[in-house]
Formats: sequence, C-alpha cells, structure tokens
Amino acid sequence: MNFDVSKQFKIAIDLSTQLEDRSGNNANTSTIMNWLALANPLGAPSTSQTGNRVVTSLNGTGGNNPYTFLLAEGYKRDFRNLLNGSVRLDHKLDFITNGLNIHGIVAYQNYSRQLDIYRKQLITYRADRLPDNSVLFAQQGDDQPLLFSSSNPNTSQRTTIELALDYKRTFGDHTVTGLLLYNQLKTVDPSFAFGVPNGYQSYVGRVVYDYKNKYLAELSGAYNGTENFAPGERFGFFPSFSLGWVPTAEKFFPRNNILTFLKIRGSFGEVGNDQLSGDFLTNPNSRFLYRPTAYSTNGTFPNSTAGFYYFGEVGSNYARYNAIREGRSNNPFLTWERAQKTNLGIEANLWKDRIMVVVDIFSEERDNILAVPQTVSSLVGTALPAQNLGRMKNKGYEVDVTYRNKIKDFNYWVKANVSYATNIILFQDEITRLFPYQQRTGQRFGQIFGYISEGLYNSWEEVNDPKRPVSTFVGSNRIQPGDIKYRDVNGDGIINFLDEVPIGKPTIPETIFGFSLGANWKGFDLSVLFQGATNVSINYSRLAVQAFYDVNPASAAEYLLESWSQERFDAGLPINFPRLSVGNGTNGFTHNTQTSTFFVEDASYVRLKNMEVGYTLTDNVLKKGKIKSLRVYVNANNLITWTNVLQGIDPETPNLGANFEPYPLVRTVNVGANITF
Amino acid sequence: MKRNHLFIVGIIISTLIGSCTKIEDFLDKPPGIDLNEDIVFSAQVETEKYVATLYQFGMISVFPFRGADVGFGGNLPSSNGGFSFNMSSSLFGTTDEAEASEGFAAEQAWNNGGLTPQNIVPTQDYRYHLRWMGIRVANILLERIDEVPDASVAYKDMVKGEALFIRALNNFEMFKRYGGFPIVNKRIVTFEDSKVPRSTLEAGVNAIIKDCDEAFDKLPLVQPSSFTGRAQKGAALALKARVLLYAASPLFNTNNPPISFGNTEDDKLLCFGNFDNNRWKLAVDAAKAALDWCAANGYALIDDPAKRIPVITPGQRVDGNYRTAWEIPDNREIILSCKIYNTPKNASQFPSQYVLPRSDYVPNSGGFWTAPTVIFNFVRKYEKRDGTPQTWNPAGGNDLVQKYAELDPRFHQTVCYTGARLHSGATRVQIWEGSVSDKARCKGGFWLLKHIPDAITQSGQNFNNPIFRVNEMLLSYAEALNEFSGPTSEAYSAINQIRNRSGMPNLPLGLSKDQFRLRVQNERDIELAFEDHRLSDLRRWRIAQNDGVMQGDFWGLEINRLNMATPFPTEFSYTPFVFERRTFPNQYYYFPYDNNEVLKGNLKQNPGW
Repeated sequence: MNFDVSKQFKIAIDLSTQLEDRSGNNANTSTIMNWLALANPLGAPSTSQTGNRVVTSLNGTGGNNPYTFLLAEGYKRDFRNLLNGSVRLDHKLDFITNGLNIHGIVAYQNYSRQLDIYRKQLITYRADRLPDNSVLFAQQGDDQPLLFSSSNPNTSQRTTIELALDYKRTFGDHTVTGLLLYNQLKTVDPSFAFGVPNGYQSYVGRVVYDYKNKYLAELSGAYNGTENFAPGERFGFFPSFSLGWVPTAEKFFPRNNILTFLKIRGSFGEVGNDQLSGDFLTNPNSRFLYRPTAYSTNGTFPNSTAGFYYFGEVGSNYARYNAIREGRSNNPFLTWERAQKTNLGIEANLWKDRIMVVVDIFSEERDNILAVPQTVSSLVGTALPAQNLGRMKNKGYEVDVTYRNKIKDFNYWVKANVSYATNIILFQDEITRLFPYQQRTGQRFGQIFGYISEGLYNSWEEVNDPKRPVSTFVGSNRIQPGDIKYRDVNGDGIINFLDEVPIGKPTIPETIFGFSLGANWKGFDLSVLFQGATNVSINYSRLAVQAFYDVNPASAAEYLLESWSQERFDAGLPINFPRLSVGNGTNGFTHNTQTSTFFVEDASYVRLKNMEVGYTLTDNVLKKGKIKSLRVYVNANNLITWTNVLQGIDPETPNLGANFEPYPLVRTVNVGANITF
Repeated sequence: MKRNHLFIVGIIISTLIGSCTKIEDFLDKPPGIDLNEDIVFSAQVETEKYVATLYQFGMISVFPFRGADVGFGGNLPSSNGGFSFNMSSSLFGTTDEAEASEGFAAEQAWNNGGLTPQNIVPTQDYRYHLRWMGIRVANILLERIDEVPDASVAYKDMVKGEALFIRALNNFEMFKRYGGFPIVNKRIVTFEDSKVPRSTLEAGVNAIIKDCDEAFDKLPLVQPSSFTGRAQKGAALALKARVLLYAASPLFNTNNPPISFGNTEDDKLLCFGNFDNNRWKLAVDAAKAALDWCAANGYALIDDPAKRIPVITPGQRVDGNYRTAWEIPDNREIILSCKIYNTPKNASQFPSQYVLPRSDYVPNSGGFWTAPTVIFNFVRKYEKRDGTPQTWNPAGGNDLVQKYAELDPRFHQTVCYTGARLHSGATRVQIWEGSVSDKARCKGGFWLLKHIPDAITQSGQNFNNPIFRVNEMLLSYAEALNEFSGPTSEAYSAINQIRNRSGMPNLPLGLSKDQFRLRVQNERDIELAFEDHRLSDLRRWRIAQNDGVMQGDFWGLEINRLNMATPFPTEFSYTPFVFERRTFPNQYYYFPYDNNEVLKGNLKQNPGW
C-alpha cells in the first residue's frame, strides 16, 4: 500500500505472508533413490505369499527392500509460515537543496516452522527354514503404539532498520548522486549459541559522478560493525572506488560502423568477513571468540554436552557429579578478514551493434582469514583460539559475446559466454609435510589428494614381482591380479599416504560456458541452449563404483560388469574397474577403494540443456473466435549430454556424499499452447 | 510549511532511533562470563566439579568409548582441535583372543598389516588427544588447588593425589604404547611451551613412578563408599606395580629393542639401553606393596568355596566366582574401576554394542553391529579341570560337547559356546553350520560372554569396568618373582590362589623358571581375558610375532549338528579351520605417533613408521 501524504512525503507499507503445508511420506526423494539403488534382486520379497506379511531377509534389516523402508518411515507434516512486513517513509528535502531525500525503513520478518512425524514400529517377519524344510515366519519387533514426534517450533524474527539520506541532481552535463545510509539488523533465533540475538550495524557513504555518460566515477565506503570481535576491533572500514570511460562518446573519436560503442571500466574495493565457519551463529565454538576463556558446565564448551562423572557404589550411593570444563582459549585481538577485489572490464559494440562483447577480468586477494592454528601440538590439551591467519587469491575472467542480425523476415541471434575462476592458497598455518608435493598451501582450496593409478595388475607375475611396491592398506597382504597398481611417488618401495599427491581438478568447475542461438521467421520461432563445464573432476561415491557395497546385500550398477576378471582379461574384453572385492565386509579389503586417479575422473560435459520450437498463429480466423493469438510449442530439457562420467550420474549436480547414490537427471519434453484472448 | 516538513522528518528519525534503544550498545550483547577459572578455585563445591572432569577426561576404560560418553557432541577429539572419529568396535580382535566380526572394525588394520601413523588414533589409541586434555586438567588442579579458600588440607591433599594419579596413569598409557613420551608436567600456556620433545624411556618411567609415589603420600588410605571410583592409596600402588612390571619386561628392559633407530642414543626412546635384573625386584616389591595394602584394607579375591566349580545346566547362568568378579560392579576384588559409562546401559547402547552379537546372528541378542567372535586360538589355551592341556584333534572330532565340559570352569564363564546362555534373552545360542551363527558370521565358533550382564536385554545394566583388580596384582607378583628369583613358593601361592578360587588345581611343583613363565603367561591370558591387557602383555613379553599369537594362522571351529534332538541338538562335531592369516611386522612393537602430530616437529617418530 502506498500513501502519498503530500508531494514531499510518501508512506509505503508492505505486508506479505507465505504459508506452506506439506505432508507425505517421511522419507525424502534422495533417501528413496538411495534405497532403490541399494535394492538387490535377491533381497527379501517384502511381502510373503502367505498372508499380508512384510518379510525381511535373513541377515539384513529388510534386505534393502525400498517398500519395507517406505512403510517403516511413517508420515510427516511440515508447516511453515513466513511473514514479512515493512514500513517505508520517504520525504523530499527540496527545501534544503533540490534532489535531497530522506527515507527510513523498518522491516520485520517472522519465520516459524513445525514438523510433526507420525510413525509406527513396522512388524516384520523373518522367514526361517526349519530342518523339516517348512518355513517359519518369526515375528521381528513388538507391536507398539503409534509414535508421534514433533519438532520444537522453529521460529526466528529479523528486524531491519535503515535510515538514509540520498541525493541526486544534474547540473548541466554533470550528474551527482550521493548516499548516506545507516543500517542495522537484528535476528532473534532460539537456536543461536548462548541464546543471544545476532546484530550487525553498518554505515555506508557513496558518491557517484557522471559527466555526459562519458566519464564515470564512484567512491564509497562502508563502516561495518560485528558482535564477533572485541570492542575496538569490531568495526572495519571497507572503501571501494571505480572509474569508467566511454571513448566512443569523445568528440575526437571518429564515428564509424565498426566500433560503435566502447566502455572501459575498472574498480577496486574491499569487503570483510567476520565468520569463522558457516555455523558461527549456532556453534558456541565459533561465536564471540574474543571473550575471555570461559569455563562451563554445559554445552557451551567446544562441541560438548554437559560433563559429569559418577562416584559411589552401584546399587547404594552411586551418584552423579556434575563437571566444569575449560572452553576455547580466547583471542581479544581477532578482527575482520579482508578481501581486496580488483575488476577490469571492457564493453564494446561492433558492426552497427550487431556484435556485443563484454569482457571482465577479476582478481581477489583475501587476507587475515579467520582460522584455528594447525601447527600447535595437541599436548596443549585445550581448544586453541581462532586467529587472523591465512591468505588466499582468486582470479578469473568472464566473456560474453552476442551476435544479432536479420535478413528480411528472418531474425536470428547467437550468444556465447565463458567464465573461468580459480584460486590458490597463499598462506595457511600448515604443518610442514614430509614431501613438498603434499603441502596444501600453494594448491587450490579443497584440492583432492590421492594416489596415481597406473592401471591394474593383470597377472600373478606382476603381483609377485619382488620389485612391486608394498601396499599398506587394510587387506593389502591379499593383492591379486585385478587390483589397482598405484605409483610409488617417493620411491620408498611402499605405497602409503606419502604417495598421495594433488589429483584432478576441483569438484566445482573452474570453467563454465554456454552457447545459445535463436531465430524467428514468419511466426516460427526456435531457441537452443547448450551449456557445459570443464576443468572439473568428480570423485565417485562408494555406491557408484563399489559393487554390492554395504554389509547388507546391496546392488550393483550394470557398468560394473566391466570389472576385471581373469576371463575378461583373457578374452580381451574392455575392463574399466578393478576386480570385485569385499571392501567393507568381514574381510575388509580397502586397497582398491583409496582415493586415486582411477576413480577421480574428468567431469567435463556439454549438454543440450533446452530446445524449443514454436509457431504463433495470428490468423483472421482466430479473431473471429475472439482469440488474439495462439502459440503452439514443443520444448525439451536435458536432451543430450556428452560426458565421460559414469552412466546415471548428472555431471552438472553430482551428489558427492560417499554413501549416496547419485540422483538421476530428469529429461522432460513439453508440448503446449499459449492462447491470448 | 518548512516547519511542518522538519516536523515529519523529525518523526521519521526519532521513530527509527527510538525503536533500536541505543545505537552504540547495539552490538554489545555477548553473554557474560560468570564461570571462569578463578571461580573454579573459589570454593570447594566448584573445584569438585573440575575433579569430575579430571576423571571424565583422565580415566582409562576396558571398553573403548565414544565422544558422547565423555560429554562431547558425538565424536572424540582428534588432532588440531577437531572431533572427527569414534570407536565402533571393542578392539578385542587385535590379539589372539578374538576376531572382530565387522569389516569396518578398527582391529582389522592390525590383523591386515594396515596400521599407519594416520590411523593409529582411530584404530587403537582413541584417547590420544583426550589424554592430553586430562593431563592439562591434572596440571591446572595441581597449580591452583591451594588457592581454594574453604577447602581443608586433607581435601587439597586428596585432590593433589588424584591429579598426580591421573597424570601418572595417562603417562603410563603413553609409555606402554610408544616408549618414551613427552612429559607435560605443567599447564602449557605459550606456543613455545607446547614443543615438548619425547623423553627417554627411563626418564618417562621415573616421572610416572615419582607421580605414583607422591600420589601415594597424598591420597587417603581408602575412599569412603560414596567415593568409590576415586583413587585411593591402593590405586597408586597398583599403578606403580603395573608400571614397574612393564618396565622390567623384555621389550623395555634391554639394550636390544625389536626394532632400532640404528643408534644407542635414540634407542633410549624405546628401551632402557641395558638389561638390569633388579628392575624385576622393583616390580616384585611394588606388587607386594599393593597386595599388602589390599590385604590390610579388605580387598581380596572373590572366593566362595561353593562357587569354585559352578554347576553347568544348559540354559542357565553359570554362577561361579569368576563370573561374580566380572559381573558385579564395585565388588571387593576391584581396587579401582572406570565409571565413564556412568548410567545403566541397555542392549542397544554402548558398551553393550562392543560385546553383543548382532540380533540377526543371535536372535534377541540386542546388537546392531557384531561383537568380536572368540577364536579357537584362545579357547585351546584353557586347560582341563585336572590342570592338564586339552587335546584337540587337528582333523576335528565328534566329541565337542564333551571337550567343552572338560574345560576350566572359567571357560564357561568367559565364552559363549554352542548351546550356552549368552544372557537372559538368549539362553541357548545356536552356533553351527545352517544356523544364523555359521562359520561365515561367527568365524571363531564362539561369541563373547564375559562383560555381558545377564539381564542386559531386560533393563539397563551397569557394566563392570575394572581397571585394577587384586587378581592382576597376584599375577604380576608371581611373574616378577619368577623372573627375579625363580618359581618360589610365594610365586606358586599367588598363582594357585587364582586357580583354586575357580576350581583349578595347583600348578605342578618343580617347574623350571621357563616353564613357570609359560604357565604364568597362560594364566594371565585366561584370567584377565578381554580386559585390555593382552595387547600390552604380548608386546612387553616380545612374543607377539610368534605363530598364532599376532601373526600366522588364525583358527576358528566349524561346528555341525550330529542330531536333530529337540529342543536342542545334543551332539556336535568340530573341525578347526583357518579363517585368516595375520601379520605382525616388528615396528608394531612400538606404536607410531599420529603423523599429524609428528609433523608439528616436536615428536620423533618411532622406527619403521
């Protein structure tokens, strides 16, 4: 609702609410996918032929039967409410100077959620064959009442207050914009550590100057305050500025059809971070790190619950003694982590604006990164204080090119974009490892370390070669043909952690690209979108590459038929996996399941993401039926993917959890019509 | 008009400011610190709470424990202040007593030759990082206990004694695993202070003995009943006896360690650098002092003559002295026990899960993972009731029931065999081919009975978790005495007390020193089985690499029914079979220090790692 109280004074009131009421089976989709992937054709038949019984297998809880799991999971009801309200007051201050405005905003957000779960103990029956060959169904578990569990209502409230003076005025060819702003944010959430609300405060000032759209300049500064640091350290000043120049707007620049527009811009700025970890609000171990070392009796100790010990004789005077513990050591000098960002860009229009090019190059250097020291011996015996340690650099570029043209009625366009970003750890408090190639400093953040695979052992001669490096994994004294041959990087004759080197690219792509084109002609239209990524690796989940993974009889993907076997090797058939072995079972053999180049694969892909063909009718015939236009179309998503990753795994959003089956990609084809009356 | 505008603007500003109290106080809302170290030492009631932490962080346990059991969010402390792992198995399968059934069990790394400086903490020394937290608590208590204004001298002395005892106990836990260890005898404050190098083995042992002696001086003679579980003079004596027994043993009392750094100076991190028979004398005297203290203060073997040879009725609990000693908490045989598993635990909680078989291997057993299976290598150590060795036919036989019946009564109170009662929820356990406990699932042919309270599936039970017992002192005394002065009558008497109370005859007279040593070693294994002694004993005796001990073939029994009698078959056959081959490289005699800690620079890694 907007009220124009006067020409100078406006009030805007916003009120919105969003209610969600979800209900259904308590299992989520990825869990169900996981069950499906684990289901073994030889597993238990969920219901028996004699009567309506749920039967489990002999040695598993349900034989990984998804139906059994689903029945046991119960029903869930999830109620969420999000309420947003804000009042904005705007007043022109033309009576002081033209173009000056003041505004204030008070905004309030309330979120609440209630999750109820109803479940009942599933009675299952185990089929036992008796010595006389008859089958006995033995009941597993007792009949129990319906179980109801309700999460504590999860609520949070957030109040934002903003007060700002802004100014915008044009003096001939000069345009000046200015802003002075105060902002504060307070969030109340019972899950926050110590039960204390979270607050932020910031003062922002900005001046923007523009001369004839030819010279552009901006200068701004933010003075931000956080509760995470001690008074004196909690406010940080973060300046930034940018300059722009449009040479094509200069008089001296010759007008031509080749370069119609050119803009060169650059910026430099600083931003801050006050968070030790993502859970800094809820984790007492990461909040208010400057406070003097606290002792506590409950969960405010790092990662702890209440401590206690029992003394006395069991059965007579056995009693609980509550405990006090020392908390994380403090660091009163902790302050903002800073990132300095530099950006350089060019925008150009070529050949009568048919080609538009935007190029950006950026670099970011992070300093004073908040971290806990890693080189202090654990002999200290207490949680070490957080410090401003660590430096890191990010850099990259983005290029966007668009080409548009028309030939008579035929309009078409082609767009391409590519972006690249990489990072390097310049400093972290890292132990000096035995071999320099194992140092994490100097690598990308999150670099995978693992073994270099040199294929498989194919014969007993290779396995029994006295020169073969000795492998030191669980079960390594049972190496056979078909096992992975790892490179002994340091040449000590032993394959162990010292042979782990950086392998593969990051699991988040460094290079992302897209390519799209479209056209329309006399009512027909067509658009095609390709996208892809490269400089990316995937480290397959255990379920993807270990057949029958798990102690229960699980399943195996069809491509695992290409595992090494003497027969396949002799027949010269393709072999893509090591021999089948029990990795997690009773005879633990983990040689083949180490992180290695064998299973860390290039996850580059190109995908025909979307394609749409349509035809719009604007016939007079339609007009008689009072229809303005009719468009019929066919569109398809995820039509084709070109990639090296294993079948069934979506390279765009791989699930990297070690125990999870990847969620398969959905291909959709829609046929539709849009009618406008 | 202008005035009016100013008025409205004024309202906007004042409303906003009014709604946020004071701008300068907006961020200043950290919780106050009401509880700090000064408060801990401001009154005895507060200090007592810190003493509870001393025990929670500093006590050792027969069973492993998980982060939740010592008040951590879920996991145990790991290197660099993290909390990243838990123990999911009992560790009993490390030695020739058992085989861990689950593939993920930590013991597999020992059996497979997969032990590394990376996995030493999660595969055996799960208390490594917690240990230093316990030692820090002890050091802070020693530093500040005298400041407590309302505490008596007697109380302060007791706490000093407890802190010294816990520090000595944890240093001993380092010594027995690693040899020389860093001695941290005061709170570490600065980064420079934290760079403590390993001391020589001798300096480490001396530091432990010094703490034990001082603890003995400060501790009360006995603790009142309501303080059961807190160290008393006897605990300091028992620890000292154990330390000196280990120190005199072949692994340390030598100039020739099983694996060497290659120079005598560094080898002093592993051993004394010489053999001195007098070390056995020190061990004799320490064990004697502990036994004398026990005798004077009412600590003695549980020995009800009626329960020496318990009646064995199928389906019934075997109610003998040996069982009473391990099942009943706080019995008179226990000098000090661990009370980390403080409240009664049911069948689906830890430590039950370390010892119970999976419910689908033994119906109603209550386990969701599988306990270790006891193996034939262990069972064949039991003598017959007449004190002679049992004869097992390597090719197997049809007289399994008879073989079992002939064995030492302690077998029936330690091992759950075919037809035996595991607990009140599983009274006749089926272990044979074709049952759910076949040789693929129950590889050894036996489940573990010891430690499992009979009513575990009915209600929560307090597990007995004995750290020092009278029987250990007798065994240590006999062993040290034999080494120092041969098999004297006192040595015989000590062993025979243990044998007699479980219905076993005296050892034959006239044994040589070497013969007596073997009998003591066997007796120690049988009597202290599954109490976290075996791995250390095998290493200090330097017999771990022997065939069938921690290396070579490991045997289980394949068991078959010979009839279909109801309700339970009456005859079974047995066939020994090798279920796995284990390796024990020489460097396993000394544990590797956690690689991450070694790379921090102050600790010298043991040879071979």
